[in-house]
Amino acid sequence: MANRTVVPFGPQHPVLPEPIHLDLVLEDEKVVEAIPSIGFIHRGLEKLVEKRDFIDYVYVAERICGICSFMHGMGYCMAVENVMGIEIPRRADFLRTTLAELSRIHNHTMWMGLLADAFGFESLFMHSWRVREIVLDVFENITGGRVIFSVCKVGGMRRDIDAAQAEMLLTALDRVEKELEPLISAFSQEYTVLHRLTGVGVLSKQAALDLGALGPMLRASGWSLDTRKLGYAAYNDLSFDPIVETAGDCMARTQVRIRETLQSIDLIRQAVPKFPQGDIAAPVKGTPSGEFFARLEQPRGEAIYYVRGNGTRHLDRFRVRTPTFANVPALVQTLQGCQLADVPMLVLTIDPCISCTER
Amino acid sequence: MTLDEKRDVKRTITEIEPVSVVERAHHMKSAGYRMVEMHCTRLADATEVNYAFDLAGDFQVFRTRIPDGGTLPSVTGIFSCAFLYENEMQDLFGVRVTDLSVDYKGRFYKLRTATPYHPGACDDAGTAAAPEAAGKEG
Amino acid sequence: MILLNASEWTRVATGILYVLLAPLFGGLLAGVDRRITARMQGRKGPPILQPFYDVLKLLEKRRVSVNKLQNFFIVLFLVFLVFTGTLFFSGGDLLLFIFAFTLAAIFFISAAYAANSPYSSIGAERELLQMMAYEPMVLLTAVGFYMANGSFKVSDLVVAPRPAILLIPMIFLGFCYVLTFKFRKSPFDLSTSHHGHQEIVKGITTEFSGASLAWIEIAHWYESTFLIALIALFFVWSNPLSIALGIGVALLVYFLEILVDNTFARVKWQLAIRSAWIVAGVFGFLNLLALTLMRGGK
Repeated sequence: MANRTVVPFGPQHPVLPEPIHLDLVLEDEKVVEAIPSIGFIHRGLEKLVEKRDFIDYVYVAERICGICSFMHGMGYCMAVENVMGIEIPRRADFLRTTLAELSRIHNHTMWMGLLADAFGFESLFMHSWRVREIVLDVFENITGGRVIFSVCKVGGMRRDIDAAQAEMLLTALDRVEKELEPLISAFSQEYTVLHRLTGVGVLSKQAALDLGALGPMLRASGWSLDTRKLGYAAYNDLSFDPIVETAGDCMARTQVRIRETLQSIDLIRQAVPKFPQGDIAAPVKGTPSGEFFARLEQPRGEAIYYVRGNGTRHLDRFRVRTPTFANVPALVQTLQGCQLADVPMLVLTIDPCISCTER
Repeated sequence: MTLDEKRDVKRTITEIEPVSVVERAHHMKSAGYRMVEMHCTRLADATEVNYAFDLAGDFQVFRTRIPDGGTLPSVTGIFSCAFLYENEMQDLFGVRVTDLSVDYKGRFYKLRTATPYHPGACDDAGTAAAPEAAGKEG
Repeated sequence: MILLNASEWTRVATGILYVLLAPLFGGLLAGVDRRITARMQGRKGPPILQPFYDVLKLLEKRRVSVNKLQNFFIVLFLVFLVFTGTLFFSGGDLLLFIFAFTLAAIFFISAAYAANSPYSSIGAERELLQMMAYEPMVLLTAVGFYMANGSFKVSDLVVAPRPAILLIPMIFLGFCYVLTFKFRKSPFDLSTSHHGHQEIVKGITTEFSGASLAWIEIAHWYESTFLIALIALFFVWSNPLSIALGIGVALLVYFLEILVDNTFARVKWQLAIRSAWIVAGVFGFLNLLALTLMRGGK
């Protein structure tokens, strides 16, 4: 009979800066059971919608999470705009798409760094975050903010991207692409990296669907599902195919995210020359009445924004289902039977954002 | 006419009875749909529960109403990932879910006040929400 | 008053010098290591003297320990490491040196077990696995020195007619391979590392704080000093200038360790043991076999 230990993983884990808690029941170094619990920092942001003006609530929505901040604002705006029947200018759609894809590059490069840190490859971590820094500089130039920009508003956008900024953006993307090259070869060819990622935490195609996995997690298991294909914002005018891998292991999830980063660069390159002329915001009159489910593809997977208005300036209900929340069952499934040394990799490959989860 | 109708993206909302929830979930599962999410909305004297499913962009929502004090059958037997949503309903809205596969008994969220979206729900229902646990965490 | 001849006086003197100067050398080495690592990662890095500042600060901090015993074990760990190094520098027996070294490591592991925390227990378990991985190669190294120059005594080896590297080059390579374990560098920093692990925090050192942690640091400085000296020993013969050559090569090896640290992910223990044993088997045994055949041919 092997020796059973319980390793508490989080929430005040010194090296996991996310307040998720996993009780890992170990037999020597093998995980036999994992019990997740969240809710340590539940902020009740969904409830706050009853107290805030629906226009002002965009700021709250953006603060659901720091990394996908822009997309949270965008999802909320899309839902409210649909309820109110506002058609936003096409230029705003393109601006939103551009910033959303930049956010994806930001998220994925940051994630690559965190993954490298999880398997103890410190220099890869530092270099990945250096690439992310380029994207943050672009954000600062375009929006004035590095993490939370507040440029999305109900009815459109607050800030435009002028010709000089578009030029700067494209140059920065060239740099990102160039600096990503050696990182990608390290992630896909380095022997010890392959040793840590290949065949680890395999999620079968059927299990991925049954457990409600989303985003890169789902696509790495062979499903070609990408909410962007629904054609919200400007995605109808851009050509792309969802990135799919079939192995379902940590390596496949890493590859999906790496290829998505390159895809995002490509999408922005497609979008920038197509920027239509015109306004960046439509006037907003009246108050929302009715309900709507908005869906968009965040870096971590599909997010759902449900809005119900009652004709006053305060919404009845705002619900956001974030991708991390839906990915937890899949995480628990892959954790069972893995090695303790694999746990950080598995936790990382769902790209956990507990800030999102604890709306 | 919403923008999504223009873009031909389907979203259907169907009202169903609480008793037929499990049957409907079975139906969606066998048709190959995936569970997208579940959520509640608080109404005057009832809690509305929404189930969202998706298959290749066909977004189907089923909606049911649980009167105060009523119970909701769990769909965790069909969609195992539903346990998170159902625990969330128990903790935030005080909806009593029966046959839950993994029941955190009100400890899923560590809240200062029990069932914040429906204050007092657990008092009359007498269910699980555990203020003593919440007190310790706070 | 015991009468000592000149060579014995030298041996005592080098032993004392080691005890006094090793922390200085080890600390500087750690400082340079951090600086070079930072440069490899595109960072500026801390001042060279940062390890000393760290230790001085740790010494002032309150010591929080779960179990009084763990601090006792740490003191023993430090004492035995100093003893191990002194054995080496005063020209003692290489085999005794290796076993004293192992004993010191065992005290360190006992300290981690005494803390009774899941992180340090798993770290200690991994440390034991690491010892299993590198011990065969370390023992073969001692045997190799004996076969090359006919003595286990360091005092004899430093005045050997030719440097050991000429006879046991493969053992040298194998020894460099397992040094990655001893220097706690990626890919073999399983039990603890310079930055936290995600799954076991700081592993074996998780539960130490204040002065205990400072002692662990100082012990590591002693340790890296005699490891550097051990690498140098491969290049030393009766020519006194060869000591400089040996130290030069040893520092180069250390630089390569830093490079390796920055170009590999941490591996799992199964692979660590397997690869270390394969290296010991192939490099160690082949080299010893070749030596035996050469001797037999004479």
